[in-house]
Amino acid sequence: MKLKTIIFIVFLLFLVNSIIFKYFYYYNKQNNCSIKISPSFEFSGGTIIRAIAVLKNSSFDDYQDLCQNVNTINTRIGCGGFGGGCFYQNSPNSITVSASGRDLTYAVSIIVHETCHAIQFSENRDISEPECYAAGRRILKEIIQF
Amino acid sequence: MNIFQNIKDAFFQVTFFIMFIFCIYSVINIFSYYDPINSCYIRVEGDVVSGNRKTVYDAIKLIKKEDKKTYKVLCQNVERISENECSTAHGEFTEDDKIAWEQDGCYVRGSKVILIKPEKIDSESIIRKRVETIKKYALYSEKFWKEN
Repeated sequence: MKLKTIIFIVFLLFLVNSIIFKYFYYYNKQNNCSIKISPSFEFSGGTIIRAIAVLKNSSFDDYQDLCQNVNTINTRIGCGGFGGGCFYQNSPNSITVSASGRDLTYAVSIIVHETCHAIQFSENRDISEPECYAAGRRILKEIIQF
Repeated sequence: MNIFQNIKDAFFQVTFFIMFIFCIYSVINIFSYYDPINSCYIRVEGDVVSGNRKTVYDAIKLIKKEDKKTYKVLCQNVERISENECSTAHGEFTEDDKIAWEQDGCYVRGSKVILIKPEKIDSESIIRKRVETIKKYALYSEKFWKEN
C-alpha cells in the first residue's frame, strides 16, 4: 500500500473518531461512563456532551447518577417539546433532551431532571415531577455563578 | 528560462497558500475570536435576534489592549462566550430567577463557558460593560480550574 493511502486512511479514521466522540458518544473509562447520543435535526450532540462534562466537573454525584441510570440520550423533541425533556417508562435507560446548540445550562438541568425520573423508575417509585423539578433547579443554582 | 518558470510557479503557489490561510482565518473569525500570536481561541456565540456578536469581539480586543494579564487569563480559561440569559428557572419562575435573569452575565461552573446577557446596541458603554463582565467571569473560571 502506498504511503499516501496509509496517511489518508489514518487521517480519515482520526476524523471519524473525533466526530463520534465530539457529537455522538460520551465515554469516560475512569468513571466507567458510556452514553450514546442519538442524533436529530437539532444537532445538539455537542451541547449534550459538554453538558455531561459540566456535570462531571461540578456535581459528581449527579454525574454518577447519570452514568449508572442512563445509557442513551435522544436529542429529538419528545413529549417535553422544544427545549424540554422526556422520560419514557418503556425505555427506562434512555432519556430525551431537546436543547438547541447554545443552551448549555438548560441541557444540564434537563439531563438531571430526566435522570431523576430514571432513578425513580429504577427504585420502583412513582414518576413524580416535583422531585425532579427540584433537582433541575438545584443543579442550575450549583452551576451558575454570578 | 526554467529558473524563471520555477520562480513563477513558486510565487503562485506561495500566493495561493497565503490566500488559503487567509480564507480559513476569515472563516474562523466569523464565529470565533482568534489570536494565533497569543494562542487565543474563543468561540463567540451571538444571539442573532437580540444580541450583537461584534461588541463581544470589541470587548475582547479592548481587554487585550488594556489588560494583558487578564487577557492571558481569559485565553487560558475561557473557550466559549455565549450571548444567553443566565436562567436559574426550571419549571416555575420565582423572584430569585428574576434577579438571575437581570444579571449582565455568569460563569458556568465546571466548564470554560461564560454567558453574557444579549444586547443589541453597539455603543462605547455597552462594550465597556462587556469588558468588565468578561473579565469578572474569566477570573471565576480561572479560580474554578485552579481549585479543581
